[in-house]
Amino acid sequence: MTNSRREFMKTSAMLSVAAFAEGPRCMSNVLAKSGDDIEWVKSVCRFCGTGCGVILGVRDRRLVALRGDPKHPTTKGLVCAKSLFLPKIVHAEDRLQHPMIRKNGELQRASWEEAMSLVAEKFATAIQKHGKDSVAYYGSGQAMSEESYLANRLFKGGIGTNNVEGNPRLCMASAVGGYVTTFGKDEPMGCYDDIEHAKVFFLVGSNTAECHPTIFDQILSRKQKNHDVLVIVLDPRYQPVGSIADIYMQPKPGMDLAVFHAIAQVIVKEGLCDMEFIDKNVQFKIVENGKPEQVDFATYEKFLGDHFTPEQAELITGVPAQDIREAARLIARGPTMSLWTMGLNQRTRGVWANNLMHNMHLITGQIGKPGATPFSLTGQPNACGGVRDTGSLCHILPYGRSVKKAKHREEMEKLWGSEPGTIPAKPGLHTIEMFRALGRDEIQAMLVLTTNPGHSLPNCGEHRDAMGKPRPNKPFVCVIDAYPTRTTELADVVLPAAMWSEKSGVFGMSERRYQYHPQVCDAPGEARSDFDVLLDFAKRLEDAGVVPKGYVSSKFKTTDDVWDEMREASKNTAYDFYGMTRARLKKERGVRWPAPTTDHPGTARRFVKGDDPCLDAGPYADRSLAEGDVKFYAAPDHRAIVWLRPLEGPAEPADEEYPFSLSTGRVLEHWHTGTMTMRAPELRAAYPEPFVEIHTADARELGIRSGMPVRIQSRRGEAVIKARVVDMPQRGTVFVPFCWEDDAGFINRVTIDAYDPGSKQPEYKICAVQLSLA
Amino acid sequence: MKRSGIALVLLLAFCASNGSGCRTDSRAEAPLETRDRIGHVVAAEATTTQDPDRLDGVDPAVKVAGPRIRPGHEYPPTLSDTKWHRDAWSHNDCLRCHETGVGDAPQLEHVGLPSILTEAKCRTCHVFIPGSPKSEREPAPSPFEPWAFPPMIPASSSHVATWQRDDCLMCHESGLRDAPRVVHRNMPRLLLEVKCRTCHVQVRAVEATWRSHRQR
Repeated sequence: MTNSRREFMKTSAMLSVAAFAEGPRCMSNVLAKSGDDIEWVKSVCRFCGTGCGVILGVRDRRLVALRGDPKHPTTKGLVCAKSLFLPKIVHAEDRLQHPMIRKNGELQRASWEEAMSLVAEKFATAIQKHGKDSVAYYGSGQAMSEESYLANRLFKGGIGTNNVEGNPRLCMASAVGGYVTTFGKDEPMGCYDDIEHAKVFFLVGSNTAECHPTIFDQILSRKQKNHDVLVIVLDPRYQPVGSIADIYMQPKPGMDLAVFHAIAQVIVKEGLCDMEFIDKNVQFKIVENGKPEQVDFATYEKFLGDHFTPEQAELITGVPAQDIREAARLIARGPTMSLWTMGLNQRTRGVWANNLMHNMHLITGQIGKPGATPFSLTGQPNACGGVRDTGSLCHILPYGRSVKKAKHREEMEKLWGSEPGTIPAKPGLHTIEMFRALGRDEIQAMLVLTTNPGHSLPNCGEHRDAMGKPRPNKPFVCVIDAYPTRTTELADVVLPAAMWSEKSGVFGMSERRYQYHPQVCDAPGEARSDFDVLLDFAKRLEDAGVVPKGYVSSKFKTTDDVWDEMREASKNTAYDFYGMTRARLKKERGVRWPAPTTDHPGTARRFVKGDDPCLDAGPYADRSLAEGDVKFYAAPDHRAIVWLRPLEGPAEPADEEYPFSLSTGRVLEHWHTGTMTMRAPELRAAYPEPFVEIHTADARELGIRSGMPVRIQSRRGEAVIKARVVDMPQRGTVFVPFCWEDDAGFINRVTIDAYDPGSKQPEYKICAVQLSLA
Repeated sequence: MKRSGIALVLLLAFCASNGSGCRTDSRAEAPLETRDRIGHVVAAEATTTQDPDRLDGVDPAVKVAGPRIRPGHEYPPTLSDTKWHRDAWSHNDCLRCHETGVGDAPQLEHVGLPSILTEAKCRTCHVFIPGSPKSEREPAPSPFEPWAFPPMIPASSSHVATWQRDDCLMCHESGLRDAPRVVHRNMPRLLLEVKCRTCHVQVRAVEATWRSHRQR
């Protein structure tokens, strides 16, 4: 459609007259139509942990467009569809705008004053009547770092309870357990730059193409440009990463530990180990009678040879021995970058699986070099920086400290201005046990912030009852969220929250990069940031006498104030980011910690002399090292541990009664419980309803065809979902994404809440189910 | 002008009536009860907590130069429900048609996008919507016949290393990996025996300014 010159002149004249007649308002509309008045602001995406740099298009304090930031050092302009639709999500019509209090079973509009008074009173009463451990906080990897830090500080150092948890327990805890038990400290040592150097990518339990699309695109781009770049995939389900895989291994669910050991066995047997690296940096351990015992390399070799040859692994897992051999040789050749997510973490032996992943890198020396690293991908924008790093879980304190260590408690009490002995030495309740305690009415008041446990918890029916089932002495639950969710419907008080672009703060993503996101628009109605709510809440608890007077209110007015204390808390730890001032973060496109001084550029690879500043100064400094040397300074004796872990399967394998194994996950267009992505019409239309993937042969036996409703039943609950008959899951397994909130398709009523004894992370990925036509 | 004057009077009257004044510095002393920017009553403590940059607009430190977005182009186009779209996953699946114009597919025009984005898989940005109809678009005006030029070779990994005719026929004769099968009718035998690249031009990269041969 093109206008003639005559039509153009006519239109211009009419617009000019209209603009003159109507004054500036009309003029601004004319400008708006031109697209020139959009102001662009650098920020960071608020979906997964990739941390894509974005630029936000803002007009009249509204978000009108979003684009990838081409100047971002790691994502370079890449951004996925979820992110592109964020403007529609932020300005969705059903945003929560007013506080609500449940009265006579119904949520009714209330003032902030009324709602906050009630919340403070309920918490104060619970503490005074039932003790400090009768209250709990359940936070999120989507809150800003300052918010998580403040909540953690308030509950542990103010109230004096370690009942502080967050949804990263559901997604990252096993990765944390793996890093800590192998290297002594949490968080990856590598970075996204390694993608540009790796020649072998080992993707394990990660639907990278859909869940971390821009990471996948970088791998894809590297593979397209370099024909010696190879991709190995280990996943029970065949998924889109298969489109670039050179070797695709599909083990039986929960049996991949045998594949890892078998790969190590080939590496050891064929002499592909880096013995010099092992001699300098590695030790071997096995757990005997509940205690870790040191063993030597020969014992490790025998352990592998006795139990985990490729042929033995093939019998256990179904993965062809030849594939295991080829994968082992490629991994040893490297440079190898391993990437994994929930397939490895959401398991009752998730920590062990993480350990065995690290084993392969340690015995081959594929670590601390460009392109060679074991790298855990994160599912939320701030699970790393906000929850893991700030110590906002029940057993840890900020920046690598533990509640069990007296020195660490003293350090934080001193910094926070808490009375000595305020922080309990005993870890609080972890997520699953916290919600079970809520169900037993042992926890009397809970604050849920920026997360949706009424949809996301496994065995959700039981935990929904804990939160919302009416009963005498029912605990009080306050939920802060931006949208109505399956959790707000259970709450006693709902507080409307400002979203990411409506507040300013810091997100920390998978590669240790902390990035600042500014406020660019106003929250709707009366919605307030979680930070504002926490400050208000803290002040009221101070007034009620359950938190020391001035503990929070005299110290913080803005998130900048909190950030400065966080920098102080990180000083002289392995996380040291003292050099990341607020002004610096606003200007730069994120900085990777450690960055101890304002002129330090940030650290690409930890534990590497010449790169990691912790090896140059501070408690971990070592001047005897040469440039490029690796030193695992946080590990016992400064040596990372290769663990000899036994084979152990899932908590609930398929059996005669429940013959299928269920796995859950996501799709490209939706994120987690769909609270946000379902609000963009295009994304919702992409997947308006859930589906269950069933293997063709299984479907034929059961008389199921694509589109038919299928009842999926476990020992805990059931869901009715339309079938998608496709050869992506292997025989005997089914896959369901968990992003839909309607009752029929609510798959987390079916999943199991058995958890890893080390990381306490639940086993979403495997439980036994029956299938039948509904 | 008249409207602006009335608005100014109303604004001053509002500020005077709620007693808070038109402060932009929220850290200044606040009365016991005050109102937020949209006039709702909020606690005094709450107003004292806001970031200084929240009321003063966006911090200049985070402002950057951005692309010029035409109205109506804020979001990437969605994919209609066609067989090809349903099965497409990799970049190459899409470019096979949208780069070459095969099957009258609208040819892509990604002006001004960073090359890393145009090299990514298309579904990273474009959402497939089941059931959505194929859009009726007028073909781009061209002085040439649509069949006048041989289709181009997409810039995908499977094509980069192909040189010999057999390299191409391995897939395009057998249909391996869903490659479109070659049908060359009424062509001189000599042409059918030479290497395919004699006629078919490889797209080296999906350049931002690249446009189809039909539009040139």
